[in-house]
Amino acid sequence: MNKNLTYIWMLLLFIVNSSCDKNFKEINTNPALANDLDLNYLFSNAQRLSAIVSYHYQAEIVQQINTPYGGQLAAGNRNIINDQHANEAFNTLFTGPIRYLISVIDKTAERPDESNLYNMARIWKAYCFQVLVDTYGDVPYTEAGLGYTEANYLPKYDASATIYESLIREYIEATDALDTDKGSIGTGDLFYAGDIAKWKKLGNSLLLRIAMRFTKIDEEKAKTLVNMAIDPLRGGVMNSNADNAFVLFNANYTNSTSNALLAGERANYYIGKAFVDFLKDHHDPRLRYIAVKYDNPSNPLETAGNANTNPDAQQGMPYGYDESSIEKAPGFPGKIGSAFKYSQFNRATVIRLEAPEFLVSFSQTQLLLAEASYRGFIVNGNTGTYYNNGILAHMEQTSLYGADPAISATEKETYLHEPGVSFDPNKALQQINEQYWISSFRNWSEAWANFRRSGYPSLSPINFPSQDPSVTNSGGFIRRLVYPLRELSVNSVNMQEAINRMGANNLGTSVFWDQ
Amino acid sequence: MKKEELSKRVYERSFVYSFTKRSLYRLNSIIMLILVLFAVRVTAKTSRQDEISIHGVVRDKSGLPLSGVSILVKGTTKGSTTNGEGGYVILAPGNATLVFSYVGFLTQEVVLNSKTALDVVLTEDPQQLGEVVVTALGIKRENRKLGYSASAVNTAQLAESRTTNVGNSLVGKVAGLNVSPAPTGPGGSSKIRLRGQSSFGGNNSPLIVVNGVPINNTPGGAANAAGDGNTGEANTDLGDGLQSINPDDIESMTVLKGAAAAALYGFRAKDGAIIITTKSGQEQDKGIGITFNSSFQADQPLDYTDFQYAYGQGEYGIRNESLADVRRTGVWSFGPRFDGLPIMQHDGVERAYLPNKNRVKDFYRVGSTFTNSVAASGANEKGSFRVSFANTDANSIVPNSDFNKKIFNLGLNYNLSPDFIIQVNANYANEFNNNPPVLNQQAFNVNQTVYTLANSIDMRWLENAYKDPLTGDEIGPSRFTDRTNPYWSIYERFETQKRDRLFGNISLRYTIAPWLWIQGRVGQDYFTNVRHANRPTGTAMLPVAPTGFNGNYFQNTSTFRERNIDFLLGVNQEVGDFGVEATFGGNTMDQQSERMGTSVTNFFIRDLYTVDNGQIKNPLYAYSHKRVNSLFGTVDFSFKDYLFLNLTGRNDWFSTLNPASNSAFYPSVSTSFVFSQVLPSLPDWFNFGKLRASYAEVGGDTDPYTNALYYNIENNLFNGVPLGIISASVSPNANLRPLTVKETEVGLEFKLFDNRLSVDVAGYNKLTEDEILSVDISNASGFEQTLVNVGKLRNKGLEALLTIVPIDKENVRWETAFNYAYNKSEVLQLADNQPRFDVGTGEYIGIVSHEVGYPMASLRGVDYLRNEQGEIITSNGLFLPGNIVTYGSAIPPHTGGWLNTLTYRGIRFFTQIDFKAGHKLISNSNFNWTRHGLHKNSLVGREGGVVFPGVNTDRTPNTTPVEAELFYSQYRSANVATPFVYDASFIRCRTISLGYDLSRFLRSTFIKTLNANLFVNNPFIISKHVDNLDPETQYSTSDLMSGLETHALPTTRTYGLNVNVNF
Repeated sequence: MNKNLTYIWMLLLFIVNSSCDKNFKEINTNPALANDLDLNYLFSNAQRLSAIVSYHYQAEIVQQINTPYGGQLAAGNRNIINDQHANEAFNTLFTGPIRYLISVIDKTAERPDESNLYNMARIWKAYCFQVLVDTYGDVPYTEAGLGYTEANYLPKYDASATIYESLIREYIEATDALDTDKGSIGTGDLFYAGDIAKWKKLGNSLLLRIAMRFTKIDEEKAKTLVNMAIDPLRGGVMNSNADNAFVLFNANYTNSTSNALLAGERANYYIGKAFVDFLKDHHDPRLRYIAVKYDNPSNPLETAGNANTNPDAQQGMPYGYDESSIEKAPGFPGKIGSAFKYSQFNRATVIRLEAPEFLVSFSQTQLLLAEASYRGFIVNGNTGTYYNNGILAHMEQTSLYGADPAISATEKETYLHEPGVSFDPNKALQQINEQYWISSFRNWSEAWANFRRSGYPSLSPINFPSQDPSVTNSGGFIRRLVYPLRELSVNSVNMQEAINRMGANNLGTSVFWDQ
Repeated sequence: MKKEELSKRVYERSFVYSFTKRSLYRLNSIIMLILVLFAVRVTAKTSRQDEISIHGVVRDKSGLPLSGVSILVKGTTKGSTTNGEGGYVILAPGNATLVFSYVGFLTQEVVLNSKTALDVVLTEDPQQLGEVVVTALGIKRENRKLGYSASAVNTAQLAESRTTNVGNSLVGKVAGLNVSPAPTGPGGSSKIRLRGQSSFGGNNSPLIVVNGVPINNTPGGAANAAGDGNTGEANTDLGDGLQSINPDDIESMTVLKGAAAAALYGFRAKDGAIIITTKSGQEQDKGIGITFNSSFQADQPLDYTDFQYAYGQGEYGIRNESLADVRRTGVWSFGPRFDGLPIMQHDGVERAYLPNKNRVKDFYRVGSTFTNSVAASGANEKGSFRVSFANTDANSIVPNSDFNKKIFNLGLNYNLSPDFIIQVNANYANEFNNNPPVLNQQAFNVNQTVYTLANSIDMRWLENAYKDPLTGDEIGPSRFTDRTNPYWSIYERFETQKRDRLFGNISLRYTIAPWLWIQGRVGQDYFTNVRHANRPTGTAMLPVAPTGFNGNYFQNTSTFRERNIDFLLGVNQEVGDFGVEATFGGNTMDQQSERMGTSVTNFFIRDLYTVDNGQIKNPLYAYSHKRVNSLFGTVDFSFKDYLFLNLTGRNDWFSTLNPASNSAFYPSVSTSFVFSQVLPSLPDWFNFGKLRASYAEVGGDTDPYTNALYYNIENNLFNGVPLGIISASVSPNANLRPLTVKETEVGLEFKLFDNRLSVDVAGYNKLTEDEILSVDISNASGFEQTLVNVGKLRNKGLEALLTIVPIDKENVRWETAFNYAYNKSEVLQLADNQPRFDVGTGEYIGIVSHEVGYPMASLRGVDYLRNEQGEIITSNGLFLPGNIVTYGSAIPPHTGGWLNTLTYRGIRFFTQIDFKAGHKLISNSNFNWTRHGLHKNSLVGREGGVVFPGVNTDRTPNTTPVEAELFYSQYRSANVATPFVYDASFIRCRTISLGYDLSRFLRSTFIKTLNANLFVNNPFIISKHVDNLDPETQYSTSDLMSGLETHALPTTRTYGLNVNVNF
């Protein structure tokens, strides 16, 4: 009996001593995932993910797209708050590209041989934050993206002007630190396949873009920064369409905006009246790649029937109406089934599933230089030349949407002499920024920012009958988007601090450079 | 006596035994009790001269050793009792007769005939069965010895109200047990909660233990979590573990409500446990006994909608003129007033413009469930066996959706030698779930479309024209392309799941000495799920394919395996009035799951849903592995027959936690004092009284791989470039500690007036600390959620059970039982002193949060924008979104039931009424019905516009009318939830059943017994407060979604017939 007992105690001791957490480390390591990876891969994905969906508010505010519908679709078309669309940029940029870029920056900071990747990530992270500041005003910056590394789950919001200062520094320092003699990530760079010289031009073009944001509040500052951006010793800005920063989608990874406008929303969205009218009035050859009328707009492309791209037939949808009252709008063209006979985006070109998403373009850069030149910020170059180059660059850029046949040389030349388009120094600011508005088609965050900054094109306020009062009180246009509802619930204390500093969390509060 | 026990007694007696025997049994038990008392008291004084030592083991029929059996040498006062493994030693003359008696079993006398080794098998006394319960680790113990609440479920009542998932049969049966059936059809899971929710997380389901080994009861399918609409994987409920158990195989079911009761399960005990023992055979008069059970049920969908039928399909009051108009406006009832004039309809035919009130009846069909089971069992002195087979064929109320399961069960006991027993239990289930309904998303959710259709649409018109004859594409009812035509969903979309599941265990028990035994056991739960699903080509909401055909196909195979290896060692000693029983054990649990699949998008050949035919192929793979090692022990002390003390301890080591804090110790202490045994002055009518108290700490761990950040590569190259991803949207946390639940419980039980009135009251206080939970964090942190040890949470509550037998006559017996539970939860503290955490978000409106100072599961939502005086501000006549406010908790503080059993001769009549009260619900359905113009409240302002009773910014009353549809649509864009919050309390009649024992007419035949039972589940709701809905509607079994209602399957009324035959 005692012997048995001894055995049992020995067995117990054995179990205890054979350590109750043997192999635990190994068991708790996921064999199907990696603990680390080549940071190029994260960088590539950050680039891809920075092409965000912006048609609900941004494109509607600049009146390039319209829907008469309310409820779920109500947003910029009715000047009202709709969280599910207002939160898009916030939620996707922070958890997507910014998270990846911060990870890349963290890990490459101490690796001198990867300094180019490090600096590219800094530039692109600054780009993402600029979109956020332009959209919302104050956002988390210094404490952003530290969820894992520092367990900071509820980051503080920083003042937008302070963030901008930091972004400017990042654009300058990171661009200067890029070294063409050092290695690059090669094809992992979706924009330039690792061409560091082009990255310098991108950094400087972004510096030019941010510099021009100050024209409303601090012209001197804008001037200084513009000159820094174009300094050839620092690499200069983009000088051809080959320098464009864009994401080229494919059949596998499709363009999200196109995806929505071709599927569930295909019968719900039309081109804005202001946009069609402007293109049409100036006989813009780009119109045929942008606007179309289908026989059966509710159907998918293959059964949509004839695609009428005749410029004369195009008609944009006016703003300020709902799906019922629009039937009383002047020139109401009628309906085809449940759809309206207004022009839609061309499904074979600009909203192809694989359509590229341009983020920073040579065309935009030339137009910014045109304005800088006009304002006397820069001495070299001719305002009209910059302006014409900007227009031509965008026309050529259209070929990437699959515009076929391409816009001919004659068409281009004719357009440049078109009344209203032909450069007129007396209307320089208006003309330049009208073209910027066209050049930023589909790059709607930028189109909206430039519209707020320059005041062009001169759009009529939507004045939707039940629009948010803050919009009415701020001149009829949405000046910023509201913070996500989720953020109001989760991070309310920090958000409130930002609101106290910046102004009410509504659609009428202007961001700092838009005062 | 507990109500379950009483009614079970009645049930069995009425069917099996004649009533005249009853008084005899009662006498028997009283004698036995006296004998037990007498025996215990005299043990210490026994003389040992001229006697031989006899030893042996006492077991029940299933081979489980019985501890505490009283053994008396007949005609003397000499006695002994058995130890924890059933062993005994006694000194007696060689020619003596030993009397073995035990509460709950028939007393047995054995003549010694000079034998020195004598093993005895005691037969359970059907009248007394309820007195013994199976506790943690499968140890059978007398209820009176327990210092905690352990409720035996009356397994006969489970058969009363047969549900396809046996978990749903538990509703209203046990105080403190809250069951919410998921309205997902026959293959769906059930949601069981004991004493509220012990934690903030999504799954607070009790541990399910079958024959001593835990099984996985985690609900499968994305309806219970967040779905991924992009892989073709829709939100469907794919069932849980309990559905793999055939209710006819269950011998006993014990609900261990508190931490003390379940403490021996350590990290798995935070939500209590349900201990199921399956049958393993019993002796027959001759040869093998056959039982056949057959049941048929019909499920009738219930329609609680009370819509407006004044205005029909259309928008802005405009009459639909064309087919296109009709197909655009199908979810809007903002058309003109009904006039009966011809109007175009969805299928292109003009018909009178009139309301159609029967869409629920027209679309859903009467569901049916046919279950047949057969069991064979036998036994001899060496052992016993039972095999059974059950087949269930169920047709859901959704057309083209059905479920089949086949369950084989085997129970086997064999005595290799008198000291060595082998026991085998195995359960194999083969389940086929065909087209389980899609929930919790819009696309393909038939309920969403059926319930939001305009009130003038006839379902047949949608069926006539769901597919374009030319293109083969879907014809949707409205411009909301993600409201899929329900006939397109049921005829064109497919989803199947095949599950093969085998769980069971083999145990060996060896009795080393009468006071010492050892047992080894290996148990495994293994299943494979094979799923196929598509999103059909031509579905309106899908984007077009650049070339070929759009759509998705998804296939995946997942396997799960949990293996438990444990050993148990028991010792028992008795010194004078004191007895000690101790059991020590160790367990290693190893859990692995793996999922492999492929999802493809767009096809080359139309309507061929295969991986080969897919254009874009995304492989899916996931793997998970965790292990928990444990050592545990339990010691029972007894003093005489009225004072009992039980101590347990368990230490768990977790592979999933930080090595610095991966070990946790879980102690418990419980005591029971049977005061009716000691107080001499108690009156005659006071039959039994017991006080109990306990304290326990239990806990829980987390999922594997949550401690580190992992990277992965996207499935496909992007223009030749690999894309890296950070694989989680939940920020990992390497510093997680195991959570602890500390629970104190006191209880009082007494039985009065010849056991005709019994009361069982329990109070508890349960404190949860350091729960590991993924909580919503700011997206600006880079992550959407993080895992943290979340603060403190308290559940306090009271459970009461009152059973009365008002009539107890020879031929008539009426038993009425009330159970009631009150549970109050409070969030005491959250991590980082946050005021709240969000855990779930409704499809349209509503947030589930945990807020400090409030009960758990606060339902919150966007309120109207108000001024300082609380008046609603309007702008141009429209309200605006305001602050997020808290409406109340989604968890009912009050739950209970009232069960009546009336027996008259062979007739048995049973009713159950139950209720839940004091909780809230946010109705996404009523939100949609309002904005779509179906809800009666949307009648306001149809003519002339809605003048909302708000104020302008200067506090003058609003006078601006807003066109009705425009006004009600504002709820969607502003996300205002306030008007859609309801009191979710209800009282409902759950079951009415009528049973009849026909055996008496068959005495001369080969049939031993024949019982028939007719029942209606859910016959009517007595009281509710939610518009247009059954307040029990829910769409997810996850607690993260508690109280957020969205279009789910209609609840059903079930009519059933059950026939049970014994040969």
